[in-house]
Amino acid sequence: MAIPSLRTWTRGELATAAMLNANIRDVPNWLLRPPIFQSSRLNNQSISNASWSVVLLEGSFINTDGMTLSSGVVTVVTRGIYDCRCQAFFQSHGTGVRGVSIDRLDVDGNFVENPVRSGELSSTSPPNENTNVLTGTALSCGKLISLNPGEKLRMMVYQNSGGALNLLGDGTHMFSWFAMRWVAEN
Amino acid sequence: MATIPNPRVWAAGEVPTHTMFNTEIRDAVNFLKAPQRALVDDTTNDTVNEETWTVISWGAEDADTEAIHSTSSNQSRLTAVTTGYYLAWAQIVWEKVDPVSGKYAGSQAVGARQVAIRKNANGDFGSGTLVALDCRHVHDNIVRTSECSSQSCSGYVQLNPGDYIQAFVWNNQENLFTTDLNDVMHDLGNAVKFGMIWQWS
Repeated sequence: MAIPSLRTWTRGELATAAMLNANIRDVPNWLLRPPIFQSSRLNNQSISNASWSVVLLEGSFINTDGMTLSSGVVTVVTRGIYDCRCQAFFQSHGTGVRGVSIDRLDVDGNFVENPVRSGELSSTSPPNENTNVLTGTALSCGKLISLNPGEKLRMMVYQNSGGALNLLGDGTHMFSWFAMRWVAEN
Repeated sequence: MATIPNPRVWAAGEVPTHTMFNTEIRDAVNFLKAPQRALVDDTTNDTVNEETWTVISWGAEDADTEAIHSTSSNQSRLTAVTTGYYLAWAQIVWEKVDPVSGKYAGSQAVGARQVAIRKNANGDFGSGTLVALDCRHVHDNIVRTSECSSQSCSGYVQLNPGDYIQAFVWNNQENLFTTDLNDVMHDLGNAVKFGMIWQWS
């Protein structure tokens, strides 16, 4: 999507329909629905012990800018500063730590940085009786991230319970999700 | 209800009027620079029974642009007036569990703490749909240092007029001396907040 670039009006200039459309109509249209992407892991995903794993997001529920999703990697179309957020929901287990983060990758898919990360110890009794929510541990993180076209983000999770542990899903609800929204030019 | 801008397509030969400019420029910018929003506080401590999802009631308003919240009825709800996607968030602070002194002297901070946001749940965690959830274990060595534990969650949610969100909390703190100890959410300098802000149409 093209970010509106507003003209400087000059004295004596005749405002044409094209000018009004580009400089008035297109601006609120852009701001009312900027580049937005949201996806979720709806079904269980087994996470290996003691290594960061990419969350394999399943489909794009909201995608206003033709961003592509491939093996959990989201590719940006429009440059800008994005509000990026994610939530990870782990199967209940009383051992080890849990982590969630967002990785930024360059246009070739190479790791650049880990702008934001959150984690916790899970060495005490896990929660239970989570009515209408699967039993587990939920973590989230978020940050404003400056991105250029072709750059990529991926949601990562970590656990070291001693064996594989699931990100939990019930096929319907968004327990683990990733979202990003354009908020400003970079 | 705020009117979401619906920008006109200008046609060749059309003469813009002041009414058009007010609608197309003034109103659109005003809508976008001050999106519909509410931010509310919990003004009193709330008792949260063990292993019971409890809806939080919000007694004060930091911001409320179009009667999204009421301090006289349904105080737990933030109700959309304008259609759209909203960013919703909740932050809570849990009471100190101190093994050395204080109300729970001799106790250990154990178990888990949870905060969640649900849509159209009518105060029942088993109803409606989940918007966001944070579920963590509490650790005595951390709580002892920081005295209180806090947590938050956030997420995007689509709301039509009349749809609402509520914040729920849960804990399973166990007392070493009694069997009926409840964990209490602590109003720590207005750090207990719940809000939503319009994001996109």
